[in-house]
Amino acid sequence: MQTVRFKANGHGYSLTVEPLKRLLDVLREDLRLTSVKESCGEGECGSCTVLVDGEPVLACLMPVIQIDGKEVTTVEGLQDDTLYHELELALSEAGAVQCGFCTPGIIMNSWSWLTGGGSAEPDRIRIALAGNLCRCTGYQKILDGVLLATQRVNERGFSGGQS
Amino acid sequence: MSALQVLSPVTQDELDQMLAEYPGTPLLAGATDLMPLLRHGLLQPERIINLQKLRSELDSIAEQGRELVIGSMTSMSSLAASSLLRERFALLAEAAGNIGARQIQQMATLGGNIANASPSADSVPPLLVYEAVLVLQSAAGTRELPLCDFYLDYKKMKLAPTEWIQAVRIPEPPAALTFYRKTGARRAQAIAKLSLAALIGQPESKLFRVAAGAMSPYPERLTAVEDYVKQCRSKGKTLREVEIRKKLEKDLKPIDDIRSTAGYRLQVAGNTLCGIIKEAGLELD
Repeated sequence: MQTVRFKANGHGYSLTVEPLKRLLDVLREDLRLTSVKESCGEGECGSCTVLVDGEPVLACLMPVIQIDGKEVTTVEGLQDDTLYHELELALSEAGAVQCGFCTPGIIMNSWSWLTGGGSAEPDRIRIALAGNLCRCTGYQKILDGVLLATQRVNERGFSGGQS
Repeated sequence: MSALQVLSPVTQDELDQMLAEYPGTPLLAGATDLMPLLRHGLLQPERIINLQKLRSELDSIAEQGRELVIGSMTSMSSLAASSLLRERFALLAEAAGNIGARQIQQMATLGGNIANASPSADSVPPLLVYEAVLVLQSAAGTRELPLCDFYLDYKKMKLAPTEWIQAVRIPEPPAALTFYRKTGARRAQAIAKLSLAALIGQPESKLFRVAAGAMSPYPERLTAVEDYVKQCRSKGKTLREVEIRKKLEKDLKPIDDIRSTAGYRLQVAGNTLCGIIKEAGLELD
């Protein structure tokens, strides 16, 4: 066991854990951040996408020791974020959510892509989201939703941030 | 996994000392290849060395004279986004941007891709045609080894149990057209069924380098193909597709596995290579 210190959604944690425990399990079991989902468990599907220091990573492949001194963000941490609400609205308007299991991963990946200055070009959105599988929607509606959010965000000219 | 000890060096010296004390300890860089192996019990080491604390100092892309020096913990996303790479070492930027997807590219490192020694390591064919050199470090010092001499067999490397990859040096590439092609089941995430990287010079330069991934126990330059093309070009003879395919069979040892069959791999490698040659403006009969 080792002590790992990190921030998650703005709160500081100091956990004594097995250093190679998956970040996914730490977030779900120790921190009860159950928006983070496990589907494939081997880095193929993107369901467990979270942000570490603002960049999207797969929590199923990341040992918790690697977040020592870093900051993790999950959907729970974006509840007061204007960009998050824009995405949430656009995805629901486009019918991009069916069973919803892949949605948190898609939101985290899209959010980081948008805050990184993502442009409203379908091909670029496709590439940005290529690592997120969805078994319900057939992807077009997800693309429509993220594109809609991107267009609105670009029109209104705000970038992500806590409201 | 419970009894496994995890060491986290904070300096390169400390890492050298740890490997001197515990030779052959697996190194944890981007974790994307190592975690599934540990989780499925395919790797059961007594200890692991976690390189996370060295990541920032080994994450660098720098020009040294005419050479490019890339720190071994540079992420695939940094390589894909680097304007220096995109302009002058485009094959590497392109390969890095085609590994996994955004999330994997953020985590995965260049050194990890090389040291994992997968036959389908996506960054390796570009590095082979660029004639990259590895900087290997241990408590005894550093040495340089051309990447083309690094792999010995499937997952076997000319790397002492006390050594680790510190950096990759790439000489200024000659002026040439660049081609990177990857065939997989899916555009993102898929492990390559085959990949090709090629540098092809203008007719007067005779330059022709090509390397393949996922077609042999480790990624390799296609020397029989290269020699044939160079010979034809120097004699002013038209290249023949049937000869190219014959030479490919000489160069490559593809296998049947869960991702593809040997026959498919050879066929598609031949198609891809001939397509590249035509695209480069070389005559092909």
